[in-house]
Amino acid sequence: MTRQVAGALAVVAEVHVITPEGATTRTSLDSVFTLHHLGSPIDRSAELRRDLLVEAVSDTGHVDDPVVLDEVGKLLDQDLIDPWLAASDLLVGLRPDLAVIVGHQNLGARAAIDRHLPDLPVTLMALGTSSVSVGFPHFAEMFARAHSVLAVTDSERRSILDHHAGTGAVHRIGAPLAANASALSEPNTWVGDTGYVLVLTGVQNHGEHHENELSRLLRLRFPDTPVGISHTDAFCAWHGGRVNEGWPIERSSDLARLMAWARVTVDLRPGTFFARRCVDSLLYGTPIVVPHDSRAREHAERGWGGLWFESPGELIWCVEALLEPSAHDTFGAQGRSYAEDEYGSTDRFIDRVAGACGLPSAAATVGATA
Amino acid sequence: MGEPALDPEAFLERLKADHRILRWEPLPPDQVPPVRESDQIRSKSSLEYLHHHWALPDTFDPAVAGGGFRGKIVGIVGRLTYRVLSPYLHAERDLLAHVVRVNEALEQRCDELTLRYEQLSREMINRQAAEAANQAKLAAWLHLDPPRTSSPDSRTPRIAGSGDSAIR
Repeated sequence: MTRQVAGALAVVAEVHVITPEGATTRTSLDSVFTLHHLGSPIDRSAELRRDLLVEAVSDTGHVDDPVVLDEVGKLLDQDLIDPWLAASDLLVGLRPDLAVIVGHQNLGARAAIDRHLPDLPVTLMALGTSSVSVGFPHFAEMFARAHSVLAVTDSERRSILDHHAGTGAVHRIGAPLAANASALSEPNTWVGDTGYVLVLTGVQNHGEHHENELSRLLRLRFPDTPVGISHTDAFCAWHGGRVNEGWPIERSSDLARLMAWARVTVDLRPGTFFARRCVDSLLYGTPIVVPHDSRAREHAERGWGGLWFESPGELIWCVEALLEPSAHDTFGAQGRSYAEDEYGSTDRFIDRVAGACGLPSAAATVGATA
Repeated sequence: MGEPALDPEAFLERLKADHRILRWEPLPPDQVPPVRESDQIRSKSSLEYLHHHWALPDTFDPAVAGGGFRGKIVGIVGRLTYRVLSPYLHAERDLLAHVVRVNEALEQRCDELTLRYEQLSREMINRQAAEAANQAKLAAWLHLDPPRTSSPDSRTPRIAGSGDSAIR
């Protein structure tokens, strides 16, 4: 997503991306922007420790205790600030008009900016983060520092506003996606063009898991409808009680073909980002059924592209309803219209990103820290 | 769009209302009947008698002959009769012994079969009860309990590789 935002900004401004990654300090041209490697990569364990601490403190209910936060704050920032130090001098040399910080937890990038350029306007990208992390007090200063905040979905935008009422403008920028036309030319050979139900899970085929239980319920409830179930270790195509088991779906083009020819896409684990798979499904005109407490619900609810369920019974009713031709066609058309409007245009994405960053129409210099 | 627009929220409400009247519950399981002691053949009194009286006398008892001349004559005739009939009486005694042993074996087998029948009956009823309970659980699951639609590990924070320090 950083690359897409940087690419969008590069249309209207000169963009430099700074990252602590890399074995040595070096600068290179990466398509439409300049990439600066600081050569001081952040240790994975530091990021893991930070995320673990956020989850742990949130679970204990001490998120508002200043004593706890003071002690925890040092640990949260340990080994995450220093790798960005070299960015300070680099930013002074670049003299940017605007800095875009990727990730609301990226306090190191903010420290690098504030060291010499405390008045530089900052735009914050809060990407696919959990509500727990967005609302964690230690990161509140990031939202306070930002002149504007970019969120991919509307639910993400609302989550930020709920936790940080005083934050500057929070903009939904969506994402530039497009249906792969070749996916519509040839169906997946395991399920063909049989009007099947596609079930996407995030678990292995064998093993006790609620996603497997829901998948089992679906194939038992619809014995006459082919059901394709995507597991992390296999793809199972059920036809009339018999199963053909194949390789797991790993390539996005294979998943696109499956969604393009499916009657309904049931995504049991849409993920914590913006549920891209569901938007892809809608771009192919395939309505979705998703958990009610997932990020994907926004696409079904706001985009009128499908339904959401709270219980296994509702899951069955939703799929049953969407297999019915008139409901399927209507929700499919509504969903496709929504997905194309909100996610299907690169030009509109560029406009939204540029507008959210408050960029003037004339070319400007932008420093993005990734 | 040729079809009229469908609001998913209103559509879901209608779906829920439609299915509310079709609520299903399983039949309650029957009680398991207790095992009755009287069902076992061992309790029959005739079998008790057989076990205690299967050995018939195979020699003459002089006490039953009485005294005097008549007693002597009865004693001689009695001993003679038992001596003549001795092979038959022994054979009959062996036969009775075998009949009693066979009866004993049949009795044991009948008891085993009765117990096995009781056991199978209990297992079958218990199985029916378990299935009914399972169906009740499924019904409750389908109608009442919302599933965990996001697994605990889906809350795991994004870490390095897709985190702040990497270009996504």
